[in-house]
Amino acid sequence: MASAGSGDEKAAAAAMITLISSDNEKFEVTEATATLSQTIRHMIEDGCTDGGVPLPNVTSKILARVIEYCKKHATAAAGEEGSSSSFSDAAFLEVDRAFLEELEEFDDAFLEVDRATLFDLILAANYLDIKGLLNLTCQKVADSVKGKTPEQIREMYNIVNDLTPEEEAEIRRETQWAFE
Amino acid sequence: MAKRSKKKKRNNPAASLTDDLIVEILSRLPVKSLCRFKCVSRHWRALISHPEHRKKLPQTLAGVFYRSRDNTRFPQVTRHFSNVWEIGMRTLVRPSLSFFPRYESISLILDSCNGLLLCRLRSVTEISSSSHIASFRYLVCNPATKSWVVLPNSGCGSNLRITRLGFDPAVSLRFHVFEFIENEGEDVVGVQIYSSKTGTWSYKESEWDSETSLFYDGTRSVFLNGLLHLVVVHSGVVAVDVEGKTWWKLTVPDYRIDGDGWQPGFLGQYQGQLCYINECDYENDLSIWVLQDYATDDWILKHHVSIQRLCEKVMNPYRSRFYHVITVHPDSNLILYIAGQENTLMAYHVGREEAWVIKNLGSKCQPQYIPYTPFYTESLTNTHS
Repeated sequence: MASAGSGDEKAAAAAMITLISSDNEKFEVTEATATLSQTIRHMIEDGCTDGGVPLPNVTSKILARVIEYCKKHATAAAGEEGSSSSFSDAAFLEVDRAFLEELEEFDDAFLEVDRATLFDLILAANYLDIKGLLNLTCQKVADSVKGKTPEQIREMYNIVNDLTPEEEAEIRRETQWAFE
Repeated sequence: MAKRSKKKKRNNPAASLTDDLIVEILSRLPVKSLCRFKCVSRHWRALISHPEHRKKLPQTLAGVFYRSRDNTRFPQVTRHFSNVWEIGMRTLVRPSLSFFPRYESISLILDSCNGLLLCRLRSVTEISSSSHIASFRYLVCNPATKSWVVLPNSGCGSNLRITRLGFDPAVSLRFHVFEFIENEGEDVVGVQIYSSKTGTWSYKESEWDSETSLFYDGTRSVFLNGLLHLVVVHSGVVAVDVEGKTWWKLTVPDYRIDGDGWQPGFLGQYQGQLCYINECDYENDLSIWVLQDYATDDWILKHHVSIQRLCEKVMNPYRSRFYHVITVHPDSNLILYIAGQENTLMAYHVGREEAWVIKNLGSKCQPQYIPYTPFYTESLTNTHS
């Protein structure tokens, strides 16, 4: 697989970090992209990123997606900083709004994945400590289960109901208001 | 082949999530879904009920504070807290409020508002420059975070004034306390408003008409849209804002006088609007009215239910046909009320027109019930002014 930073000529001048997936694939990314992950940020601060950062909990498939997210959002952060001085307030707001819309579209498209991938992204976001990505993916799962019944949840996630009929009846009685 | 695909389906991606991550997802659900999902499995029930997780999860009406009096025991008056849902489970709140170091000096819970409680402390003698003055003080506390603040002396001395709390975390983490000042004829002449932002009381003269008097006990106030609303003795509802600048007075819907004169109804919130629920000891049905427009006193009748329906599941329903509304459930169409001689805590579902018993609180209860919804965001610093 092509390294994630290869198409970005301007970024090549910036400090690059090599991330190594669990299946030993190497991804070269800018520091700005990598430091969206608090975990990697701390490693950089501690000076232990020479020779690459091994991420034994993240597969290359998932890491590629995570990097895609970080690149987009790192550009967003950089764009905000860069534009603030060179535009008037109104123009800045306009750019800001357009950019946020674009980012939202990106996020929506980014979340168009199967359930297994979504959970893998949650695990990776948690392990790498990327707040925005964790929030995005957890919200996606929450939205997908919001209106469901307990039976549907069990079916969706293959959860075995180990409550006795009496226990379940008891909970239903106590939370009767929530079943309507 | 069929067997294989079944096996593949059994592979559960969610199983890899840690409890913390499941809670992370659950914390983004509405409280209604959350309560429903206690039925998914034992594991989910435990996750949702765990005291540590509750701090991250949305909360709803948890229970009711109330008092009982029994002359054959000591102390005669005791404060209680009852869960309204998880009847078999340990309560999250200790009615003694023992997280407050001087909890024994709490004489009464006066009000609750979106997770905060307003209490009156027993009077203490304060030594000022030349005289000794006995004075009540107020405590505002948050049982969920075990935090509290004792308000500075309001100057009430040993007068038991009508005092209420205004707190709306959706707008601000600041709270206000309203202490109404009455003349000798028990008409309101002004209000002292404490702001947690400034940490001081400020007095505003009343702009309600001169014959406005408040009910001392039992009636609840509502803090909604930045206004504190209360029922007044002469068949009206009044409201004042946190600045003491806006003073409303409205008439109540369905004004009826029975044997002992006019009985105040319940004032609350119903689906985000101010509601008035008439109630009565004298065999009246229950009606829910919602205020459409402050300017025109436009109350709309939302629902009507017979007293028979409300009391039929109570012991000896024909000997004890009365009820007292405690609160409207903030997240559903439920009205919680007390009915019958045994002070039975009951719920009535407006949509299903169905009433059921939650628990008997016992005949020794005092008629003041304070509903309580936990609020886990830290908003008070433990201070004593």
